[in-house]
Amino acid sequence: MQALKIIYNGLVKQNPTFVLILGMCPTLGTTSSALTGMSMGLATLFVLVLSNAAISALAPVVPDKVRIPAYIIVIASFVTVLQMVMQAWLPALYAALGIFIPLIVVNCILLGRAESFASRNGVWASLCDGLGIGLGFTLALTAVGAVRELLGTGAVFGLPLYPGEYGSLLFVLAPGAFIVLGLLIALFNRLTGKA
Amino acid sequence: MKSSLRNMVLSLGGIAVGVAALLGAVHSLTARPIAEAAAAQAREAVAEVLPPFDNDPMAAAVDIDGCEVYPATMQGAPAGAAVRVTTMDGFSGRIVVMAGFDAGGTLTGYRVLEQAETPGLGAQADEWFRTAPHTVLGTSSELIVSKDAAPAAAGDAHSGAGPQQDAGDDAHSGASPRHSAPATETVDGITAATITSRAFLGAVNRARRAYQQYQESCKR
Repeated sequence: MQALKIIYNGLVKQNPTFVLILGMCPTLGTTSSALTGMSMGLATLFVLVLSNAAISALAPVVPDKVRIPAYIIVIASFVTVLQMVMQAWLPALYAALGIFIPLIVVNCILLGRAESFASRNGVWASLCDGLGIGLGFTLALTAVGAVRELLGTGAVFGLPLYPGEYGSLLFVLAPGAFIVLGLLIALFNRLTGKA
Repeated sequence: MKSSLRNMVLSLGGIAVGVAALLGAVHSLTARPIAEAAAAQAREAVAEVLPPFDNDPMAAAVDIDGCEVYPATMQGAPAGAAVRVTTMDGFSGRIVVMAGFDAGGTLTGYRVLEQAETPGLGAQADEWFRTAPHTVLGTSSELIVSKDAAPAAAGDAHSGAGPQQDAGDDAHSGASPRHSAPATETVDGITAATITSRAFLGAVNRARRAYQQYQESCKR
């Protein structure tokens, strides 16, 4: 029950993209299609679950003054693990996401969750929090990617819905990311009754 | 926990050692698959762009003019070559193309190995140029984007240097054996991605010249 509540909290109530407005760099940079957005979300989810669990286990023995460097080392090492695993078994996906995979290290969602949740809660709760926030991030990136892909190329997940010639290039490029993100944040807040 | 020099050094040191062990373990697990994936990708691309062959082109690689030439043979006779060429003329970062030629110099296949062009536009290069009516497969002369060809010269055999000749082309044109392939062929570029189209055709042209140079060097 507790676990579900924590996951729901990350997925909806504190959705990192739509509510906390964190991790904007990958949100804008990797959502040119639904598939890359989703992949980026899942990659972040993987690191977030592991780093949250590890940090909550380490927190009691880490002195206050060095907690940030300690957390960063943990996060960076899991990102490196992810990078090596992707290069070995998912080289095409790794090539598509490029620089955004190593940049997960500096994604403020990870350090934010480490500071505000994992360092104060148990391993199990932190794992659930990582899962919830990670899923929330994945959901948001997939949604932004799907809308941009649809408006830009007429397809979703590569599945054509209308002829690509009618798509607008604007949505595939950076400005479209801002426009779609803004509209989706508004829609999300409307649906969750915040505005 | 209250910080002291002792516990700060111990905790950070401990974490660093633990993390190093983890990374070492993962590295030893993934090092082989990573190398294999890279080699398999290159081998697959070579096999895909070439006519049938029975040697190992990767083993016989030659570097010509910054292009990697992988010569293929069939029962000892030359069967063409795959050429790996990199261009910086694209819209965004470098484009790496593997182009395959048969013994007569006809383009038998290509594959875009690496690109960061605009998704949905320039990124289509890997598909676009193998689809009729704008295919480059089966061509055997210099290619230019049809938009860049002078209207009167379109289809004319002796248009010579097209206006799209970039710096890289000029640098190499003196050395290339022009006598064998004086004609240019025009190809329709990707809609709304002319820069990518020019870069791609330029890369294929460079690959072709590298292959011709390789053939010349074999005759000697």
